[in-house]
Amino acid sequence: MSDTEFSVPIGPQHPALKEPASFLFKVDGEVVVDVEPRVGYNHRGIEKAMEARTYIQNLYLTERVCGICSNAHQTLYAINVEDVAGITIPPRAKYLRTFVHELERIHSHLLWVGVAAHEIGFDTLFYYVWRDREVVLDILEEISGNRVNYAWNAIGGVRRDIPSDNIPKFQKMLDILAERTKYYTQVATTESTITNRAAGVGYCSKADMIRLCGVGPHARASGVNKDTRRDNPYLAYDEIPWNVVTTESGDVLGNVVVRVGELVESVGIAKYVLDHLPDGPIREKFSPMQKIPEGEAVNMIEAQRGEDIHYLCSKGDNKPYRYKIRAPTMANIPSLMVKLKGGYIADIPIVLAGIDPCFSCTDRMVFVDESKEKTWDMTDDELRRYGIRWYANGLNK
Amino acid sequence: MSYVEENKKTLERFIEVVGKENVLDSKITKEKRFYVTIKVEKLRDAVTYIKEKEGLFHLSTITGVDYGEEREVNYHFNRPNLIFTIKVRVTGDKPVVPSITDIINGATIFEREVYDLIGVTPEGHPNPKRLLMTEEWPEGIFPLLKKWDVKSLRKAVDGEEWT
Repeated sequence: MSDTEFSVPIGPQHPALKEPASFLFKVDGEVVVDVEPRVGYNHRGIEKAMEARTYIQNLYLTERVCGICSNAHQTLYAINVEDVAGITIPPRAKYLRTFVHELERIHSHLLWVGVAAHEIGFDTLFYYVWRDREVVLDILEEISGNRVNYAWNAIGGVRRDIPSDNIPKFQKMLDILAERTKYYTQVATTESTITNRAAGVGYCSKADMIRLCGVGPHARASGVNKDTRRDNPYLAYDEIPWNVVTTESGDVLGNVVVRVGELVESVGIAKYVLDHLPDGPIREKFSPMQKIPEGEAVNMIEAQRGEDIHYLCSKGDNKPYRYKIRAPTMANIPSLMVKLKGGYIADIPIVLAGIDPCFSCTDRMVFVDESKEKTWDMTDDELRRYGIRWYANGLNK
Repeated sequence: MSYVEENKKTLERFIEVVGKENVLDSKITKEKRFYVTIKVEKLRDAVTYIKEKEGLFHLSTITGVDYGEEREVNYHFNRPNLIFTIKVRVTGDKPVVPSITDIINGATIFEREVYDLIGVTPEGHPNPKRLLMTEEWPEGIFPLLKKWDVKSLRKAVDGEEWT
């Protein structure tokens, strides 16, 4: 290590972190020259725990893999079990699952846009977006009883129905969202507060993204035209008209553009589902201690953060023999490293936030000056302010 | 050509390239999910082939499964309308697979995970460090092996009884 290079560990612990992670940055002046990720601080042994629980118990355990994409993991788990058990879910259940899946995407993307705006010091947008996020959370609360962890799926269908009386009300609420999300697409591309901080920051080329198997909006921002909902359709996605949003820019601005674009599409899908909700039963029977035949299943769905893949191996028992969960953030770590290298310290918060990780907050930063054996701490808030001040003073010029 | 025929052709070509004698088992479910067990020596050739010739360059994840005497490693590749799983089996005494990180760069983090949880070493990995377990985690204890349950794992790692 040369005299000018510093090591900067970021993370892992922060009371607000959903998933703590740590990054060791090597910096030369203001420029990041190398970065080494360290995940696993929140390893809870869920895969091991699932092997000791019945299929019904696991339905609620998979929901607790993540707080934001809870429904995505649970839906995928239910699809996998139904696959091995040979259960075909009723059409109405398919549509109801799709509906909540999209609502969850809307709330997650709105949350992300707010967080990203906060990271670059654009708090007005943060308040606007989070106010609108309440609309979708209200719908979710009304149909499931909860703002998060909806317990929406059952094996063989869904647990609750949407009363037809409420549908016009939901349509109206979705109309508000449609209008607001259109406004955000305009803001994201024209507002200089965003473009000045996000354009050209955290670049990853399309070739690198493909090479490192990036997924989700993070990959689509680099021009990788890949969306599980279209490529490997599940639930009702092959019956619904919608578009995949991609952009070629490969930077943080691309992340914003893709996510607000997807918001518009998701609101459209949710409205379509309400208009075309088939009649009929909402679930097939599956008893609590039911055994499922020997076999294996692997399925993918497009969670908010990207492709989510689960693998189930059954030995004919009422518990899974092996269940594997790979959440999208995991797949995005190698390509995130590319985005961070060569950038400035001041850009670390927004680039980390760019993949919508579960560990975007970087509260306790310890700067270690190895050549002088000097250490100092920097909290997430200080780092964020440092970034805003750095740009405000024009130090990037 | 519909994806069903295309997928079938992919499997036929795959078996031809890898060699019939090296393919131990193959299974198709729902016309979109292929599971092919091959000999571990042919793994790198097979991955190179499907990456370059069949458009299966996206590795979704790697799953390790413990079957007592043997451990199975599943490589889940995908392309539109197909999830292609290559399986290899290694013995529990010598759980080593060749690393594919130099062919599929995105595999780096998944191979480290498989080592951490099920103890299958990716031979030739550029950065074979622990990923999920702590640095203090004892050598040789892999939590997803079937011989461990919560109680015995606690005792082996912390030296404390589970209460």
